Amino acid sequence: MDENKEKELLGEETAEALTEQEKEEVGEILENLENQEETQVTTDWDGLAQIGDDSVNIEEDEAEEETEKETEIAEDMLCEKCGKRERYTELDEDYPYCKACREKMKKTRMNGWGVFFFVSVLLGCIGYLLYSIAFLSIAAPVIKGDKYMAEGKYNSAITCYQETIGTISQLNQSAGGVELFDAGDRTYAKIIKAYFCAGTPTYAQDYFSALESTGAMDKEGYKETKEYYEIYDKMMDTYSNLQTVYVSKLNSLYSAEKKADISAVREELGELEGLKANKDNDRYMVAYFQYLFCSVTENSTDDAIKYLEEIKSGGRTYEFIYAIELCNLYLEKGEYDKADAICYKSLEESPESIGVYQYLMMSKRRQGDYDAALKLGEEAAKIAETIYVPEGSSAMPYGVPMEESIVFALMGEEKKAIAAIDASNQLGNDNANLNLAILFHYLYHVKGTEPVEDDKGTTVYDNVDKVYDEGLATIQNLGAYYGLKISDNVKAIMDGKKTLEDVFVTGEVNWQ
Amino acid sequence: MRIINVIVKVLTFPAAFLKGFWEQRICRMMGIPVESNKIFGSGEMAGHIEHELFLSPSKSFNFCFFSGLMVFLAGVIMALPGFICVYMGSAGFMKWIAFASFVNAAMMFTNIFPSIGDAIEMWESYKKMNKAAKILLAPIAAIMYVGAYMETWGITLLTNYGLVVLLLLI
Repeated sequence: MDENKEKELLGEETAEALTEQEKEEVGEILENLENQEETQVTTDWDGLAQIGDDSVNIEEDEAEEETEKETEIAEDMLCEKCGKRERYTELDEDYPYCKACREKMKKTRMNGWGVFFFVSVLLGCIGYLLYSIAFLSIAAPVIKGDKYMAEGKYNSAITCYQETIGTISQLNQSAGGVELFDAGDRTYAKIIKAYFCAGTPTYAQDYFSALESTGAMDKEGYKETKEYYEIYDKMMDTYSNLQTVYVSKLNSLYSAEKKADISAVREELGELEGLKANKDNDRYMVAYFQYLFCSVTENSTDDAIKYLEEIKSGGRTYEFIYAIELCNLYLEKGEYDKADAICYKSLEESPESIGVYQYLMMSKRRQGDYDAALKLGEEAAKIAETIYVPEGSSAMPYGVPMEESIVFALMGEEKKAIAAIDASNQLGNDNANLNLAILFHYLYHVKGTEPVEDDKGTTVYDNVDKVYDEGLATIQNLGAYYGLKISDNVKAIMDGKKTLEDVFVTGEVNWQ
Repeated sequence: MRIINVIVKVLTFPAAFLKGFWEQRICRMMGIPVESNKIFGSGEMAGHIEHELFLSPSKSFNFCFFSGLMVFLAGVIMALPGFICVYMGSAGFMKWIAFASFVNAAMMFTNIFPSIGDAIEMWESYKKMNKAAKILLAPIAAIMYVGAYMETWGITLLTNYGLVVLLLLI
């Protein structure tokens, strides 16, 4: 602040000449001036200069002030706010306030309610932001899932949606079972669509139930989901009705000591054909029952292929009931191109269907092209790396390394065959890979060895191979429950009655 | 029109006060004298503060734009949880959160435009801007100018709350 100018303005004589009110005003303005920038200070001095004609003593304004002293300020020229000083007309001749009041107005106190609502809204915004961040962390997998869906990666998308549904369920459980959070009808609709696109609509059952409970499917935005539901409902109704009628007949055919000829079920096949005309029935599910009759009878391969091809025409929705069976039948017939075509179509529609690589490898293996089979295994491994799965899981289906183990065994690569079948069993078990684990561990490790004993002579293992022992134990303990058994073909190879080629190249597709 | 504006401001009073707060704050920052700090004046000035005319085009534009932008940003933050809930298609308790979120956000979005007086001044200032600025700021200036009238006639209130109903019904 310009101290000299201040002293000049507030010299003792002039200060005494001011009235109390004028002193107050000068004080206020000086206080304001202290907080202002240099450029504004000039203006404020001008403002000060207007307070009391004889209170200011600035040489350059002397002449002007002399004139003011002489002439009274006209009433219409008085400041509308203070009513004392002349209006500031430099910028606008109609301006109603004096320069001093104008300066004061620049510092008008903030409106109290305005400040109150500013603070309230600020706190509200912080709350909303925190809530959004928390909720976004739950919703993030859904966003990721949508991205996968757009890329046609349906399996990854399903994993993402399930993550959110799982997290919400955990949160509600930790809140004492109160439904505070909700994965959202749209999330359920998305996972339903993903299951349909992946060709596994039956897995969508729980999510249809969730949507039914909220009544979401009647809303405008869920038309597609409702269409899926109608397909699913018709499919399940048809299955349930047909099962009631034909399950006992199918069971008796399945458990018969000698397989019946296809001619024994022609009547049922005809009945079922008639049901296809009924619009209430899902014709592809009816065709599936016709296939089931073929699958439990002899000389039925061509009929079975006919019915499965019919289901195939129903589209990807029915892939879960036709693809594997049709592949197996074509492989059995040696029509490898047709089997391959089914697999490649599935991969084209859903690039993450790496399960089909098992059948592609099987096709190459049966054609004796082992290198091509192994190359397909490598391709499957590459795809598996790009599939999004929960932490600690693997996207690789156990069928692929199982196929690799067979190919390695056929190529005489014993160590690789054992490593591959062990990897397969670590991913999951079924009758086939358990049988192969037992077979390869027996052939390459156990055969010709004695049981292992500890220092005291107690038998630790029946033989030198723990995997072999555990495989046998699993089949013995769980066989009855899970339908596991040592395959006759495996026994034959172990006994030296059959070679690996007899079983895995020229033998039946379903060797187990 | 005046009474409609007052009704709109009363219905959305927290946001109206917030807009007034930002208008006054920006006036102080730009050194514009404020004639009265009364936010809830009558008629067209309800929800706005009375201030001196702006002498530069940029000040006029900045005043209208930034005071509205601050309220708009508050609205966006408030709408976030609602949008997440709609994206997820949430039901039950979460639907109520979406409802609260959208109602508050709509309140904010109903108060983002300047008063008609400020809008006219901004529009006149905009006309005086150089060509490049005119092209660059044309959409914002037009939105603010039209928005000011829409807000005073209560159209923004109707459209915003209509949108809330629509979003919650999907």
